[in-house]
Amino acid sequence: MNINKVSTIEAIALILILTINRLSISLPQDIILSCGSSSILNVIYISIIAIIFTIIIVKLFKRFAGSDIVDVSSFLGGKVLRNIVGIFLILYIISISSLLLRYFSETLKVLYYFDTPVIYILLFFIGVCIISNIFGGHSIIKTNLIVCIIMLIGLIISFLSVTPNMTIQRALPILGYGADKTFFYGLTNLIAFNGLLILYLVPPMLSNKEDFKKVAIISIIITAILIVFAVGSVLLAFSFSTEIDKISSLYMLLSNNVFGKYLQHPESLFSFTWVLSFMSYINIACMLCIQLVKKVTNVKNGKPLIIPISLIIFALALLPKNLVYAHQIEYSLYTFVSIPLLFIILPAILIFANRKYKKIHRNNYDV
Amino acid sequence: MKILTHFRKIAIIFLSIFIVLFALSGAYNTQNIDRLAYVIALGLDVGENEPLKLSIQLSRPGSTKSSSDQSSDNNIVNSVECSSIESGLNLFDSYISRKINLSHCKVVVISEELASKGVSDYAYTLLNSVEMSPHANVIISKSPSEKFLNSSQPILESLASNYYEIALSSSEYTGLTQNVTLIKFFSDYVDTFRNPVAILGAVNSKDTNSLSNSTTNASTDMASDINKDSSYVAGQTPISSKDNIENMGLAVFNGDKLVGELNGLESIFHLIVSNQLKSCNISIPNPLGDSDSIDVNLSLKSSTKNNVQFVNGSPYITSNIQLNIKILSATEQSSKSDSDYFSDENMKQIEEACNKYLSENITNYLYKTSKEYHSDIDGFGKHAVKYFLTMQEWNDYNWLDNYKNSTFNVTVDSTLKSGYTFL
Amino acid sequence: MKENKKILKDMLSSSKQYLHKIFYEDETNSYDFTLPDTTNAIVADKSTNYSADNGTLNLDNETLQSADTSNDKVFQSLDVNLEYMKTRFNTLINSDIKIREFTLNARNKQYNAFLVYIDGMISQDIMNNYILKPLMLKNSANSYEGNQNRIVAEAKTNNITVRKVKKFNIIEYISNCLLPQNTVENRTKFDDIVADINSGSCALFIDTLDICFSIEVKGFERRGLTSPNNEIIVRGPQVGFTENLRTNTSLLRRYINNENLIIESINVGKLSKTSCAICYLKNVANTDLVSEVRYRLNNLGVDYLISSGQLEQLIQDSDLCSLPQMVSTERPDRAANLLYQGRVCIIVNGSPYVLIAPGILSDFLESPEDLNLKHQYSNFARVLRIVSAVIALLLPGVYIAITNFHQELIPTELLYAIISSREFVPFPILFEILVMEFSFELIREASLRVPSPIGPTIGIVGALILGQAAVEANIVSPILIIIVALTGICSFAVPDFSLSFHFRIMRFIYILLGAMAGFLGIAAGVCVHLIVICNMKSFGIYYLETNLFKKNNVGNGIILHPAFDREDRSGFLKTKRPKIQDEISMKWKYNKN
Repeated sequence: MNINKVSTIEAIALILILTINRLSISLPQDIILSCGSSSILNVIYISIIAIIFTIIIVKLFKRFAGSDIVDVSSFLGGKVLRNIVGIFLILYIISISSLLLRYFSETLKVLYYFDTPVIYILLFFIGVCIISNIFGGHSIIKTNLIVCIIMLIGLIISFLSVTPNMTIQRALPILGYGADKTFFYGLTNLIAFNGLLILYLVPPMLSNKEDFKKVAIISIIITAILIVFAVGSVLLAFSFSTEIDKISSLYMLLSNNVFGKYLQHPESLFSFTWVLSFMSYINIACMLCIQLVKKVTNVKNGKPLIIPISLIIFALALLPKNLVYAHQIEYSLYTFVSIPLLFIILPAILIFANRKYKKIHRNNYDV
Repeated sequence: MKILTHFRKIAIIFLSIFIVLFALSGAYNTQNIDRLAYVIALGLDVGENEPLKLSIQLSRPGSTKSSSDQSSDNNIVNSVECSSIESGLNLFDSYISRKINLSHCKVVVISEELASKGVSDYAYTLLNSVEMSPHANVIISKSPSEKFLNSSQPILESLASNYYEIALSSSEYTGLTQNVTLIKFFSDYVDTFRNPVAILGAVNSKDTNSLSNSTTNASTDMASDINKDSSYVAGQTPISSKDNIENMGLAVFNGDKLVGELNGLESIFHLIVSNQLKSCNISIPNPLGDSDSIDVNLSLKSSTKNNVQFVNGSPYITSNIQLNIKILSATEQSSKSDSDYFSDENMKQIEEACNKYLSENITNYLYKTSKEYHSDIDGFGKHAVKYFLTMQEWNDYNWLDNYKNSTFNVTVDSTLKSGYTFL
Repeated sequence: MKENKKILKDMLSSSKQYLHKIFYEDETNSYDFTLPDTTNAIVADKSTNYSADNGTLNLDNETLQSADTSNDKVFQSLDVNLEYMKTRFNTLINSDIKIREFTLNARNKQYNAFLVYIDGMISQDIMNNYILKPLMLKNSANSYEGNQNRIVAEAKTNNITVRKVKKFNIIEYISNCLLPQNTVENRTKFDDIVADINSGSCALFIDTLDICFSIEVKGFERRGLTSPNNEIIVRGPQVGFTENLRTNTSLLRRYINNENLIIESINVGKLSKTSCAICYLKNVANTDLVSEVRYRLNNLGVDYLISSGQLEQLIQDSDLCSLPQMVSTERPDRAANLLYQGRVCIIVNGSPYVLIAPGILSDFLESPEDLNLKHQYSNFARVLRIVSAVIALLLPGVYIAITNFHQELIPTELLYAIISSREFVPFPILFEILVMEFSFELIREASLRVPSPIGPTIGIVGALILGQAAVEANIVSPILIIIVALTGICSFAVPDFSLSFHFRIMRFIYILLGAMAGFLGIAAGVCVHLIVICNMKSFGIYYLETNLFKKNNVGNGIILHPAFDREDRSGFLKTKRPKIQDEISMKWKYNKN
């Protein structure tokens, strides 16, 4: 079935869930390790870039209201370009979700389930993914909204709870590892805004096509605020975050805060919300893959595709040897594939498509 | 059609067998709650034959119906000589019937001897573990840790874990020590802005009481005369009771090695300067002459403002302290309305006496940390970092080494707020 | 010697008998009856489909009787009608079908007639005094003589009189003048006549007339209006629906005295033809919703329908999760409130529970008293109910997840209490929980059927003493008793019976998931549960609307507005009349004039 009744707030939640999941796993740590004490400056800098970028993308999509990037590429280059872009996006989504899945399962295994083989934890996630996708995309998107709100509340609680320990001077020296690392090499931290991927795919799903602008801008601003708060909390509250890579930033935040005096190990309680949000994320990744495959291959019924795609994600998640390998592959995938794809190639397609549109409708007065 | 339904039945049967096998496979990490032994306190000593002597304190869970067993029955301490914490716990697993679990460990006790050799490995190992709670307190014990653990008898509680939790938060109202947790210790150790401290503890028995006058501080007579009761170090207070543990004062580290200790009074000064004091009671010399000293209750009026400037390459540290005073003691003379403490003149005199007393002693304390211990435990480094642009420059300057060249200027401004029921 | 011979002879004969018995006689059969396949004629009607290969039964034209009676019409000859009715109602075997033959007087002429009725369903008083008496006994009405035609109009021109007359019609005459009964209908088809007789009317056949009069004489025993048994509230009307359809509709009419309340009648069930009523407000309810309800009720291929519970299962959207999708209530005030909101009410004859479509999740967490009390109390009670619902669902699962996988969460003192209480218990926690939950459900089920003098005692005895004895015998630990008792109490706090059943079933799944994988399992369960709930629809409306920021999303949520502030009707019902109240409903207070 086609998903076409997504309201504004549900679309915002769709985009947010991607970032929220990575926040709970490793994103703040990666940023802080690369930039040192200037991480907050760096994050504000890339947030501004990302917001400007989003505005540009919204403007470029204006002419093609109601069509996503695959439709635009078919307008530009016919079937060939559509197939290339579609297949590339499918492979991209499958690979990042499977790597993230492996990383998260390994994290869970280290923290709570020492003796369990990783394959059982992975099977839980894949099982839930299959069952959820059988029920269709609308229920996944609705559940995602609830999960997103729960996770946001949890995140805000964790940020607020380390406030007594914060020392503002940890953001000094202001330039961290140097101006070039902060501003030039620091551009690789744009991977934090991976949620832009969904922005390219969401227009046909919206029930009200004019809301795309609102959806895009609000979600990017909320993402930016969340990342700034997360990086700020982890940097300012702990002195060792610039040197030591602890397993999960949110775990670190939650285990070392004021709750710890009254409630022992509060992070176990919040692990429930992380697992829930991650399951929601895997459901969405599978759902997007199915929609893309349907578009590229023109099949009508997406249900038989559920099991193959989930099994591919499961198989790819088993490939890396251990946690560190998974993290390395993920990081290099983000840096070398994600940034060119999201910030260079896809916008280029949009720009060329806009040009072609202008050329075709050169004689129309309402171009 | 028939084949499809037939296939569906087979698929459902296989799926249910798979799920049942999967669920009952037993490969999951189920630890039955009563198959675990929960360690309450961990003790680290220098071993005779091995690098480390590990002691653990367990508590036997009493039955629900009996009201009070002998607390000594419930307190079980075992020690083993081993080469590292993990191998020691492994040895214990084979000796004690249940599996050792550190998730409820409240206290880590490290002996003085081991601390002077360096505790960084142990700190990293303990924080690497998933079970260990980062909010466990770190105590440096002047006696061997095994003796410390053996002597810790809860007087008013039945569970030793309760005792540790309550006892170590007494610093909030006495100020004589500080509630240092494992994560705070580790954070301060890794920090380039400061050096770590830990709680100083010891066993208070009749032998240590006689050391009451041979304290380690070489501070002025005024301090030791007037505040003799606060100037003890752990284990030396003349309390007559059975052997029991006592936490007073702080242990000062430079890096990960123990370099010195602070007595109770100096801990109060440390809390004042680093802006962590809640409230405490000390005595100040009485300018009015009706008694030797006045007991006052101190609390911070606003946060202490520290500042660092660089003069000729050395740090010049200023500290601006604002306090609220409440007078606790009362004499016959002071309660009479004509010469009570609260006339304008007398108030000014008391405040000035307090300022003078505190600024002198705090300056002495700061010079002690700088010249003797070379250890910046008050965290002045964070005020010095604003002069540097990149982390490379800051690391090259190496604040912690340069602390020993610093000079201090302390100003105290106290305000007499009130007394108690005698006005 | 002789005796020996006799003895030998006896032995020989008895052994002969024995051998004879073994080899020649059949076994003595014990009484054994098994149901054979039916070899009588199978009555098949057009809508019942038989599969092509039906075993050993041979269905050919002779054995198949098609009982298609839909085109049988009343005959003119009385005897033929009599024979038809006798056959149709099996009067030779059926003991309470009565046929009263008599002679009818009309216009001073005598006609043969007969009445068919079911004894016990009619009021004999009415039949004797208002049907038989005026028709049989001579009175001024039926002895009026003559075949005079009635003059309707007359015009005279040029000595020619033109009269417009109405021909004498005996059917009209009898029904208009001779039958002083409030409901008389003319029937021609036998199917309709039979349906009317079955519901308590009587049928009057008259010789030479090809129609039949169906006269309403219902007079069977019915239960009086009592307070509802299962929906007890403190402050509100104490009257409940009964089994009779007319009584129920009259109750509804009294609460909604508006001419736009439409009560349509539908018969469900091929054999039972149970009459059901669809009630809705024509100028409020969405027409598509009403059409959908009507469509579903009209297209049910069942033989019989006894209660509204069966009907609910037949017309609900999905059977996957055991969640209820229609509100079923015994209170007319609740039904009236929901009708005013724009919903559709289905009443089934013979069942005191009416069904209201559609039903979403927040309806089942609502008590009928919420609208009668101040909004502060109602909101407090609602929040309490939601918390108790979550506890009833998740508490045992979370307990077992924490004690098996996440022991670090428990405060140390509680941990020691748990360990010391479990010291002598030999079973693992999962087994204990399953045993205690199972016995709790057993006590609940058993106490439904215990004879009433000792009913409450058994409940208390079972719960307290068994639990205490189990603790003393070291089978379970005391903390578990508290958990199970708390779960049980919370599941009683959920107002709707079906929803609490759903939670009781799901609780076991959560226990198993929690024991398998701790918080991972519970999160997986919650995720799948949420997805199933979000996917469910009840008559075209999503069961759980998570989007709290949607426009027109009032009335869909948890918090109730104060009574003077409930301006909008529930948006999800898409009614024709969006506003319930004016902007300022308390005009006495804020009168600007």
